[in-house]
Amino acid sequence: MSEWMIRAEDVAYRYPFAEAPALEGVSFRLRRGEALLVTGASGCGKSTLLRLLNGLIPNHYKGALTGRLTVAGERLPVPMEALAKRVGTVLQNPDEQFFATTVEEEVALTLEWQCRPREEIRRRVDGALRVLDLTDLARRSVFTLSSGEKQKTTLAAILAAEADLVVMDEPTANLSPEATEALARLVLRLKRHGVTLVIVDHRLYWLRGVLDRLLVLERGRAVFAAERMPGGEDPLDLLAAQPRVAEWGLRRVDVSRPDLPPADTFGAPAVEIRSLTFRHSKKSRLIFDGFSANVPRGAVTAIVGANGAGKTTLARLLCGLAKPQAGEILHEGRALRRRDVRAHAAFVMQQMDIQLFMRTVREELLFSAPRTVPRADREAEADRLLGVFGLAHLAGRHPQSLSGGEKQRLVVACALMKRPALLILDEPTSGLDGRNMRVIAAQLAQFALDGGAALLITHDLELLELVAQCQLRIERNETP
Amino acid sequence: MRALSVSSEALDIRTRLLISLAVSGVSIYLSGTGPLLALGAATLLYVLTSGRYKVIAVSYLAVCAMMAFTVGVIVVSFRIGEWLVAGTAWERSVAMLKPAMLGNFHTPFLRMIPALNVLLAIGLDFSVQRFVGAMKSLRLPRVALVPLMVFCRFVPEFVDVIRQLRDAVRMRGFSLSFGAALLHPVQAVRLTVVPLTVRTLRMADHLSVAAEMKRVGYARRPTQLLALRFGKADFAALVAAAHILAALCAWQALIPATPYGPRAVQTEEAAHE
Repeated sequence: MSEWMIRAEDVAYRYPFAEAPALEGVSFRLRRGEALLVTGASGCGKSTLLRLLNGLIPNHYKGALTGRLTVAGERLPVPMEALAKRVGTVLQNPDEQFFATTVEEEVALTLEWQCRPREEIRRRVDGALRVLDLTDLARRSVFTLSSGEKQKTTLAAILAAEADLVVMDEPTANLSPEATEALARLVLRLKRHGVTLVIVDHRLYWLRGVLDRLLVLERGRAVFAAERMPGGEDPLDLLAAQPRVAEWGLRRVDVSRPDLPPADTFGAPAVEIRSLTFRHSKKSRLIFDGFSANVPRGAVTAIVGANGAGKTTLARLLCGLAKPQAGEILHEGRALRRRDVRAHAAFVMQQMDIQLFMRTVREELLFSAPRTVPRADREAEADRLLGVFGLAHLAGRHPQSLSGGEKQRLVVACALMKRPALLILDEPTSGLDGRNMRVIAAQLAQFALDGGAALLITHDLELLELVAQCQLRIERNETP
Repeated sequence: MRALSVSSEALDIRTRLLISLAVSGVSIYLSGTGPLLALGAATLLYVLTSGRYKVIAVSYLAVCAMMAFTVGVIVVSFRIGEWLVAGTAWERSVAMLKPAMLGNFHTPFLRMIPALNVLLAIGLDFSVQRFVGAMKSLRLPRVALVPLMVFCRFVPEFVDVIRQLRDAVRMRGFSLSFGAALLHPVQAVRLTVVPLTVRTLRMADHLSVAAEMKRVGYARRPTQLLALRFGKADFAALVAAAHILAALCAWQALIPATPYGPRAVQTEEAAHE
């Protein structure tokens, strides 16, 4: 058996009808049991490389592949079935790859469809659940798991299937900092079990001490590669020393959790929350029980709290999308009707597809502006925001045809177009490269400087470090 | 009473489906008030084992409201009919129809109650996970099983997408209410069709990619890790149901025919002959 799990020599690939190749002249090697990070700005070809490694290209996505690529001893292209046994994939959003409804069934699913004997499936499933500390959650519904538990379930399924190679597509995009640290430990544990890993991610800091190799792509070409030598430097340190890191649009290598002052003492309140009580239904858990807080004007406030603490629920309450059972929310000292609150607030939700309605990017921005603003002013503001968010060249495109990163910038621009007094953003930079993350951070800072109140729900430590000025902490209420 | 719900939850979904099919079939055969009332009472006891008394009470209130409305409509229609045909050749025909319609109007409702009870028993105890498990254990072919699994996975996510879409639309100052859709149909289509279509297509693409990677659909009959088995409770419930239904059928066969049921009509026709 060859020591190499992956051997890529001069690999090039072009999607059907695409003008430029997604990958061009990419060469690298990866030994069994090693971990490789592939990073680069949005659209650099990271995900395309990942699709080549798990066989989705050219089996699911067609196109022209040249060069020599060998994965787990198979010279590509090979039928999907041949690679599916050897390669496991973790997508950015684990929800999108669940088929079963409980943890145990999801872990067993691949083996069931391989028609393995029931006793063997039981043994392998139990083993994988044990390795990933999921035994207690075996019968839990996958819909009730936290993001970190969902990632672990996906990994347990891969481990049970005894995959040699695991490819991960932005696995930390939806994870809290604590869950991200846990994932790093998990990757190390998988390496000890002899699993080879290819990780595609914008966030770099969590991979310190985990990586063996690193590859930076730019417009489909490998522009930097690093390897850990015995007793040598971490590949991330070698990357950080490169003068072109910012030019490549990467995120920072070292990020720390900022120590933010409480929002209550930060400044004059734009929103006052008084003795808020809320639960989704009579039978559901009490999420807020007499909760009080202030959101300061002219500042970016981070909403901090564990998964399930009620961060998004608070955002919906502040925007007038939900009604509290008791307590009041004062906007600029006044209790407004919920319809009026919605007129003065903007909410950028995580799911972007459902926030875009119009035929072109420019129309989408114009549609977001208040009807009271004169047409000429609306058009001038739309053009300004198109330029600021780097969307001017896409003004005539259909919003739904944009890439994920472009959609994220567009929905933030639409929120600013509304000229809100209160701007709430729920994970606005998950899956964004460093360059685009910094664009959004700069606009948020400007919004606060102009006197707006911005609330930020995010697990992105780098964004918090850049722009958050104070924090509003929510503790999970355990009252039934 | 809550303790009863434990035994209820122990029943296999296939047992519940079988009981509901048998009860529906027998309720069509029964026409006598006594057997139908007895079937209603037996199935009411069965659904009460769920312990969800409030939901059951609300369902019964809804059926009663429906029944009252129907009776009201029938009575008023007949009164109007009688008034219209008074003194004409039709008067005798309407008078002959009156006992047949007003004397037997309760039978459809008596048939509806057992059906309501058995459907409530399934609905109040339903879980996607157990339903899929039951379908897998029925050894369905993959052409039926894979779409069923996808459907069960898709529905909760789709409901969540609709909730988020409603929020997004409200934040733009619009509404997705029925009234708003009637007033501004083009806008309602624009606000719903494009985002929902795009999201649905994306979800479908992700699911198909996940299916490829997990080899779902590659085998004709996949192994099933958690095979559902009929337990003692299922056996007891099926035996009890069989006995009760057989007894009710026997009762129906032995008692004199209802005045205006199908057998009564047959008897009258025989007498004329």
